Amino acid sequence: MTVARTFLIAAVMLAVGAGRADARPAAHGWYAEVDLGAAGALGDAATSIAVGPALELRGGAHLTSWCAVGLDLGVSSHEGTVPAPPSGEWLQLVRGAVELRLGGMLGPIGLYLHGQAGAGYISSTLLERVAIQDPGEHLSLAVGGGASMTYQLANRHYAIGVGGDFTLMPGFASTQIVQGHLLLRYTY
Amino acid sequence: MRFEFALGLLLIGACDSEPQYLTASAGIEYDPAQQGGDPAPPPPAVSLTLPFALETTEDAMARGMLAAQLGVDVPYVVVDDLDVSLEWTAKNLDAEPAQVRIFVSGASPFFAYQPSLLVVDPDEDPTPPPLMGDVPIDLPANGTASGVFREDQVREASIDLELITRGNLNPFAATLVSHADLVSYQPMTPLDPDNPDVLPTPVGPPIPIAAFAQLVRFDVSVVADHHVVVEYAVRVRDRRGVMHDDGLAAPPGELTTFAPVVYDPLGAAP
Repeated sequence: MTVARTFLIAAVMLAVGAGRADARPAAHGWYAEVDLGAAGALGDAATSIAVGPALELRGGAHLTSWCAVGLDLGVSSHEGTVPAPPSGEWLQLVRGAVELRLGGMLGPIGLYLHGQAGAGYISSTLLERVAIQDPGEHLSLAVGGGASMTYQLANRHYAIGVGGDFTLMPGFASTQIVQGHLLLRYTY
Repeated sequence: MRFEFALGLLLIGACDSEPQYLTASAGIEYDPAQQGGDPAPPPPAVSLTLPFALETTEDAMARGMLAAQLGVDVPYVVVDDLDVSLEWTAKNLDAEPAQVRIFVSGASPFFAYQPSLLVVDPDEDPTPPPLMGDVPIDLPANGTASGVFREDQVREASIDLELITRGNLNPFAATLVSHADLVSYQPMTPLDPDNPDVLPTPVGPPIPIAAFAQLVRFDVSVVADHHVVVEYAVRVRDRRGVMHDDGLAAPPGELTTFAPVVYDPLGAAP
């Protein structure tokens, strides 16, 4: 009987104390983000560029609650699966871009779309073997876009989430790179 | 701290040493049926010369000053200017297991090394070894195998070529001993086959490693007991920035041309 009374009192107190929860607060302003995932190529290039690990750093500022601009610097490492020889060789794909991000929060969930333009760099001449690179070519224009979904943590500065990017590099035989990643975002 | 770690990873990726891959213009096909049953004729070689940019005035002046200081010829490209490896793929075109041997020789800016030309009496003298290779490789029926001559092996081959050609060291002695830690050597007079009892004597000043010539041309040949095709590619990490950015596609006028002399131990030293 004593136990039942204790539960009843606790339930009444919870019912009285509980109200409508506020939206989880999130900081706005300057932000930094680290993405960790995997990247690979689409189309014909997929036979020459294997899926590999990808690391990306983003930073920028919110102009409004729904619009942000920033910089994106990413590197991914891939095995070059070109006809042997050579075989088992790896290359690094480095990308740098300016980014425009649009989106907003629905409660603790953030949904964003972004577009970007910049440059892509391949660290070796391995892909000359399959004519993705021209002789001596290391740099290309890189344009693309992507989306991300975040979950705002109790700490107003931190959010975690998932995202994806698509990059087109016309200078490298129009190679298309897709990337999926987990992200951690810190907003000041 | 986490940011610094991530930035470090990023910079490691971005500052990779940009290897350049150079693929030989043609595969090397060897069919014993077309060799008259002789298992060891001078096999056909496919050469690949590394594409070096023209020497700058500053480099030429620095090289001239070093040569004057050392009292020896200093080549445009020396050992440790490059890290080079050579990767090969061999394919057996027959429906029976095959065994293939790959021979790698080549040239420095000064000398070309062709072992078969060093045989004085074919009935008595064994053919000197190549700089790399001559190892039996088994291929399954219609199968493929790949391998690589590593950067340290190519460096050793460059030093062996230097010792054989400018040092007049016996090719067997040069290739069978590791010279990875060699920092200089004393050139000797060549051994006279007509007077083998006369020992070689030192000639000229010692040559330090700063003047060791790098292998700049690879001559690859093949011997097999079945019909095979071997392809190879060279991977170069250019420490000094002397390779042409366009690789083998560079205009000939923008490349350094070497004119190595075929090594003849009884010929004149440079």
